[in-house]
Amino acid sequence: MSSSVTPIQSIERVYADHRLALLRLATLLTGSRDHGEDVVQSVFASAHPRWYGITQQLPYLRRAVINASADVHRRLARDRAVPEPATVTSIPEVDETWAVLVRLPARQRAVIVLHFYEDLPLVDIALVLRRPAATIRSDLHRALRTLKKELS
Amino acid sequence: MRTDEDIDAALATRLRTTLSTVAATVTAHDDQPAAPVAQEQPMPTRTRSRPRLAVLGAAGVATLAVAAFGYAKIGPEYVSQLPPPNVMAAGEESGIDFWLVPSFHQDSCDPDRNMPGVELVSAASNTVGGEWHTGGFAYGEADDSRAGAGCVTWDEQPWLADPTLVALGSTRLDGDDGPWGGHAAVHPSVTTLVITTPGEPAETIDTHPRPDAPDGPRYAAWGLPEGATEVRIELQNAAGETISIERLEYQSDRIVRTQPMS
Repeated sequence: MSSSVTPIQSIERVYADHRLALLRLATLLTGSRDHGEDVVQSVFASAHPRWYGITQQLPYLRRAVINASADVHRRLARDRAVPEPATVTSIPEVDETWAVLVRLPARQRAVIVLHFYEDLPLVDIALVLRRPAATIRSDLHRALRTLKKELS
Repeated sequence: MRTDEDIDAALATRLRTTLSTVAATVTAHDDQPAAPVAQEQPMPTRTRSRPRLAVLGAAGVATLAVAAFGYAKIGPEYVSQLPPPNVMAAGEESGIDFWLVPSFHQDSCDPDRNMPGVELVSAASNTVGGEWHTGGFAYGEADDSRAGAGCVTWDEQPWLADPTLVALGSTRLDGDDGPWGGHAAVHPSVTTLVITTPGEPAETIDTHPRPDAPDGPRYAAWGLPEGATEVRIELQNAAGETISIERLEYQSDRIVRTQPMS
């Protein structure tokens, strides 16, 4: 995903150019295509009234998607509804790994997705999530430990 | 900093493959929803004569008390721009931007001036064209004996003699259940706050004076991580010395300021 968007681009243009990438990110973070759609729509709807006051629109949208995805997870946990990951690919190893990823705490899953899908270094993940780098390292370590244990 | 070289290579490969494969199953549809746009709203007729301004009292009052204030003296009753002008400090929590600005609403105790202190403006609670929804807070000993008439005053002088005195509070940044934004009004000698919540490393933030009072009281605002049940706030001077330590507890229906820690 390109990280540079000229400030004068309309929301409609940014939506058309980047919605799919944001949807994929939201889907990975929430574990659900439906929730991902809700997240992306709500992020753009929320951004619309103040669109031209946002100086870096794509980074803003990406950060908003990440945070909105965490809100979905909290809401589901509060409602005691854990999303059942669909068999998304029919590739056993992929589906098995995905099922474990979906069960990770939202923060850990966010770090995994941003590091292994977005290829962000941990220091950049700390900036995006506005959390200390030490916390990010800790989340990554705990997530990998869980993954290794569940997938061994 | 941990790198992939420190991570099991096979696991790293498996994760990358899984994530990219799952992402690839998300494709653009021909019936892709149109970009959501806010309904265009006509400028509302002036049915309210007073902007909505929540007054956040000193010493740990966290619930929003909506007080009636006079007409906004500067700018329209409605939001003309975001971010607002004269931003002293800015932050973001859970995707919500917020800004600290010198108070720009009229002082109902004295219509010839603006409210003292600062206002916390949340992007989630304010839209261009809509009415202002802000939270104001000030430094000093509060006198709310005339609060029923919408008049609360703050006397800075008694507080300036004691650098440990601080006005603390928290504001929902988005409605009734959005993330919390903490804020403080502190002595001129307090230049830094160290904010700590359980399980999280400390966060250091700067305090800022109002531009028209560079040697006066200072102000700060910060976002609180979701689920935070308590926060420790350490006040430091320019030399990094601790002036005092405060603690707030977030209970189910209120926020309580516990005894200052020595």
